[in-house]
Amino acid sequence: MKITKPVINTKLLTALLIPILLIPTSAFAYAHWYDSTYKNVKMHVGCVKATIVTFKVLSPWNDKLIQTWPPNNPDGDIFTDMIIISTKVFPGWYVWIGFIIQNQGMLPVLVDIPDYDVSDPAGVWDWFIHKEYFYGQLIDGKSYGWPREDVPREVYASVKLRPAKGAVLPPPPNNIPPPVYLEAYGPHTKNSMAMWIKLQLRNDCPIPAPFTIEIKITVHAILALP
Amino acid sequence: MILITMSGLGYAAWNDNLTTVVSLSSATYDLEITEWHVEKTNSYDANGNGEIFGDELKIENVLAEGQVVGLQIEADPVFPSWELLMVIRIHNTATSWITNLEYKISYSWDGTNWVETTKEELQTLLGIIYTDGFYLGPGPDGIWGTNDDQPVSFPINPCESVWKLEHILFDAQDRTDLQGKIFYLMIEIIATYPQT
Repeated sequence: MKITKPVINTKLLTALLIPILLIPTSAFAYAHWYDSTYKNVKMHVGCVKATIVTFKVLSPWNDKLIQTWPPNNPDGDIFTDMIIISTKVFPGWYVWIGFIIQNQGMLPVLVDIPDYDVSDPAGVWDWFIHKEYFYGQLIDGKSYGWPREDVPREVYASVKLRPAKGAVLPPPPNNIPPPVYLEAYGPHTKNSMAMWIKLQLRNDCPIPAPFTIEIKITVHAILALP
Repeated sequence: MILITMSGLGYAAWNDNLTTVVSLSSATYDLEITEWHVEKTNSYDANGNGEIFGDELKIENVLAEGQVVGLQIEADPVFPSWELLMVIRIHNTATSWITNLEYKISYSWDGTNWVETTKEELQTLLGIIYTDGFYLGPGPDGIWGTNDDQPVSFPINPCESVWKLEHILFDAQDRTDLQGKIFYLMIEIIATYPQT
């Protein structure tokens, strides 16, 4: 009997080994993907949202000569991000601008001193005086006993330049140093403040008429990080 | 591997701005005379031609750019106790601004060289007693120059008018030095900034 040595076909072996190796590899990989941990995280990114609820402009002469947009409506809510005021001025002229500012966002904010950016070809800005007064954080539900529930009337509604019963001359007392912290919006959160700005052209302003000046006052509400 | 999906509001604003734009221009003034009349005078028909106004007493409008900006008054002759009471309506035009009104008095011997003066000096130098006032109207009696003339509360707004009463009395019974002389008076009404 002739014993023959088995012939091993190396090419075939290689071809067989590859599937043998592939099977566990692919199984492992399949299991890995199939068993992955799946996290569905819902993130609601808050935003900072402040608004001017209402404003008023007080002048010792005739408030009707000061044009505003939106129209000056101290008793009503306006909800705006921008106010435009236009009038004529002379040495000694001044105006008080009062605001109620509310944080309407989901995050607390700090309201700081405004920036002034002027377009002033005649150089009049050097003769202006401006000062800001802050009152906050004030909202506390219905504790103020008048229709507005955001700020006490003594820091806004009662502020008048002309004598009247119960009138408070600007600036109202008890102002606080900025920045003012406003809580996130909520029906009973301390999310509102009042601010008064006095803008005055000095009596000794030597710039002759005619001139024009545009003053952009920007109030920043900045996220208050914990 | 952790797969994170984000849903919902992805608008991230970490600050917000509130803007106030204040647009200012300088106040300028524009006054005009819209009406005037002589309330009383004792000028008489010196030359006997049957006319006083336009003859012994001439009052003419001074115009500039279509507006009456002044009055030229010529009285000839004047005599001791001569007087003129007139009222002038001054209008603060729509293009003007809230204003106070002031005036200054000047005199001249030649109509060219003017010297600013006061009521007191006017009486001393020229024997003129000058009284005046700004009013809203003649009051309930309807007669100018009486105690119930309605005073003005300044400042006045654009588009508003006031009356100025002018009373000139030549109180010169003992001023023989003024006989035959000609002199000129100028009353200048000035719009000024409101008081601050």
